[in-house]
Amino acid sequence: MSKVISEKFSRERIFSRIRSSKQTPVELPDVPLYSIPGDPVENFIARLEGFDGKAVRFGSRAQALAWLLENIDLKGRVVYSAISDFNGNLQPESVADPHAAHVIDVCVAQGLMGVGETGSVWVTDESLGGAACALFSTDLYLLLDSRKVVDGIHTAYSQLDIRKAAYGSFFTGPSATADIEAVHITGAQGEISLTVLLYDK
Amino acid sequence: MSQVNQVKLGAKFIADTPHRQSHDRCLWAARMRRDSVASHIPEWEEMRELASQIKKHTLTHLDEYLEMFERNLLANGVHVHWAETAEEHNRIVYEIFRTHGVKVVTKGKSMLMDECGMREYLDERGIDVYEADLGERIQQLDRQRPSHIVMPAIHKLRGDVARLFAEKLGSDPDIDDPTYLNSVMRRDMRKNYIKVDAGMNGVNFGIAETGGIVVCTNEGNADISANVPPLFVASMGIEKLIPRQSDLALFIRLLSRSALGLDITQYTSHYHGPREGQEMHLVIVDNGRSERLCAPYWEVLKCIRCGACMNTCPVFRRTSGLSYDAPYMGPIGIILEPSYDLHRYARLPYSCTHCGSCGDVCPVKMPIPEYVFYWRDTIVNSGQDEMIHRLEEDGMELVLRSASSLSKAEKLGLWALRSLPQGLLKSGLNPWAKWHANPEPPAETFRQYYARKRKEARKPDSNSQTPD
Amino acid sequence: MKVGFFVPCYVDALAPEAAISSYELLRRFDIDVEYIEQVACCGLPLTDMGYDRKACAMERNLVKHFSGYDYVVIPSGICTDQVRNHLNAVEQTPEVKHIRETTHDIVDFLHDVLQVKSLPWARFPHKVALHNGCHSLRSLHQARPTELMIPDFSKTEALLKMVDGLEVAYATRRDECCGFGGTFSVWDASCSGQQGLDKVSDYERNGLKYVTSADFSCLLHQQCVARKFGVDIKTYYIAEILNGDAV
Repeated sequence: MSKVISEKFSRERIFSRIRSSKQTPVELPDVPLYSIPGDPVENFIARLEGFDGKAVRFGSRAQALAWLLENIDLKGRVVYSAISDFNGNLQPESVADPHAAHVIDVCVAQGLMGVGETGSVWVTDESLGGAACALFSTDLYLLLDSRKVVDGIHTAYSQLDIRKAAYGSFFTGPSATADIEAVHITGAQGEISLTVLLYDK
Repeated sequence: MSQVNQVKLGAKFIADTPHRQSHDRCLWAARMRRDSVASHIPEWEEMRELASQIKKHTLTHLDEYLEMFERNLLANGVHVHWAETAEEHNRIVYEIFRTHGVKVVTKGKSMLMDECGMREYLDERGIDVYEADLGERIQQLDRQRPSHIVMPAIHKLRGDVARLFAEKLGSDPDIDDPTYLNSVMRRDMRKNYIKVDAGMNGVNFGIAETGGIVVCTNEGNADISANVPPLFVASMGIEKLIPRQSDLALFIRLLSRSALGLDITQYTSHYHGPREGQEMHLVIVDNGRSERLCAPYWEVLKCIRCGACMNTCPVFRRTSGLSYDAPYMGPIGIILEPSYDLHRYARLPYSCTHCGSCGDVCPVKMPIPEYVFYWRDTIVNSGQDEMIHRLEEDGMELVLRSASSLSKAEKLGLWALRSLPQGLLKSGLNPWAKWHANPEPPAETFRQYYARKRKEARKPDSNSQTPD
Repeated sequence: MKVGFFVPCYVDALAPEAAISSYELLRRFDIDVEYIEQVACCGLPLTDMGYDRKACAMERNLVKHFSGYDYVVIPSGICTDQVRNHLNAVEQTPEVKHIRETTHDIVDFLHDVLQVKSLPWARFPHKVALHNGCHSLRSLHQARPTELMIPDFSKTEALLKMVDGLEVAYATRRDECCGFGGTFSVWDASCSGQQGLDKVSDYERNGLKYVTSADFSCLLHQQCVARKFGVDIKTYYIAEILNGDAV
């Protein structure tokens, strides 16, 4: 059971000071569900590419999986799959301790929602088969049903139940940094490449 | 503690042309990208206003939302700690680590932990804390504070980083390519991630209705720190709360666009409890915030730490963050730091040209320019204005005269006319003269012109009275 | 229409031509313009440094002499901002409120009050860099600051476009502060000077030789920095161009 831990009435003192504030109360405004113009999937692809991610579009999920088989070099690479219809060469038990996931070269997982406005894919610890597997991988492949691509962030949050996942994240392109002279570098500490396999059915 | 002299520290950076130019160029580019992405969103200004309203609403109902937040955090299985001060925050974190036998910690960026001086506290107690964000790690290795809240090492050139990494991480000192330096960091951090006992992160937003926290980052280090070790500890200021999941959309849309001119951060991650086999703690910190909530400048608590005000500030871009010698720098720093220590930071509110740009880029519409006036007024009225009087020696006669003798004077009319231009015209010790040629004194003042014109105007009148 | 004309201290001492052009420009519109001789300073340096309360006597003097006019016109953006937005030390009587509401700088007055549509006497056949000073831009709202995503407008540019032959241009960093900042230029001369140098170098890179602004203080700063560093620019207060005095 989780609990509240507070020393020497700190919590009470914080609350009592907060309550002593005399600022005029402000009403909570409604946030409109702003929509994003254009075709969500086209926007998604363009934005994802803007973040150095790759998008490949397929007619069906089966075609996407076939493409994966052809394009991932299984030999000499540690491939982890978090989806049931594609086999990697690393057993899920071996990454029960997430520290062990650092050996992963390729991670294949399911994206749950796409956002046209930003090129983001919603994933959870469950859909990734453990977030560490995706984060430690060199090449991350996310499958995404193109019908699950929404126009923008507002719509995304209106449809997601973010509370359901211990870890839920919008992944947008591979990890990146611009901390040295603001030079943009793709592939910081998380995955170095991200490919989204969009399928229509 | 001695008073921070931002002008003096900043002058060194200004004189260092390569660093200054690079710093200014990088941050101005971020500001330009911000303008460009914002211009594509027709509701941008409306969103800023809404974000401001939501923050103000939350802050004026903060006790209710904190209670709701706490309830939901507990329901999600998160341990909740309340820290009144920085010291208490550090003690709590240390206590968690001590009882769990933690030796190695990797942490994402957190302004709050910097504010609390947490890393030093833990270092002294034998816990190895590795900054996992590239910029933060550079600063940690160089024993400097971050110089920018979003880009901690932006005041450095690639050569500086190459030398630093060569010395501390054994990389090739002759290769200063940022891609190479990034790969050095990646390799080095992997070694730490493999043995990490606990991960730490700051918090961008806490959501009251869901009991979750949101962390927005680009490098992946924060997500690795949170997801790999069996223990995850996050720290959050009480002001980071927003009421609803639907409000989050607004803030996510504003944050990265304001900060870097990017539509979103690479990882926009939501934590609602520990994963299986993990323990998650959240330390909720006051450290002066509840006092600020009662103060006239309470809207500083709306800040979402995007750094847009720094990127646009003409003074910050030319003097760099280290010259403020404080956890928070630039426009947000000069209105925030005096509330921590009025004497130490009494000079900071004067590091401002009153250009007002910070207020117009701020995604939550903090009235930064107004607060600069507030602090100058407060500094003067609390007798902390000794440094302004001392300016007399440097030739700033205009201010001194106005401050000391003018209020007593009944005849105000010509004071400024005499003193201000002389202050400007006087060369020699006057710092103006280092940068300015003397203005050319005019042949005739307006006063003289006006008198002459009136005289001329009267002449034809007198002529007309003369019979022809 | 009775207009009080206030000439700020630094304009009178350093650039009376700016005041003269403004005065003569107003006279062209058949307005009863009276020079308010008894006021030399609006109190800006005091408020600026935090001595707001000490500015009270000065503000009282200003209110005393500014009263009784339909409008007060000031050929200076920063002083207009001071009167309009920072006249806080005195009691806010109806008289004070009237002054605050009816004080304009030359651009506001021509554009909003007189709603001038043409300036047939003005000719300046050159490309001119328009520097919208920060106060004119963000406090007096004379043009859209680049930070704000609102419909584009520029009162200053609208007036300049009435000048025969004039082409409006901008520095690359269109409305970045030039670093004057009033007392800031003395408080932190290095930063102020560097900002000024960056600004005039920007004009130079763009081949802009003429610079105008509704804030004479910015122009004074820029002109002096340019001369010190050998950058060839010529500055004109906006009224000099609008009145056809710039040559």
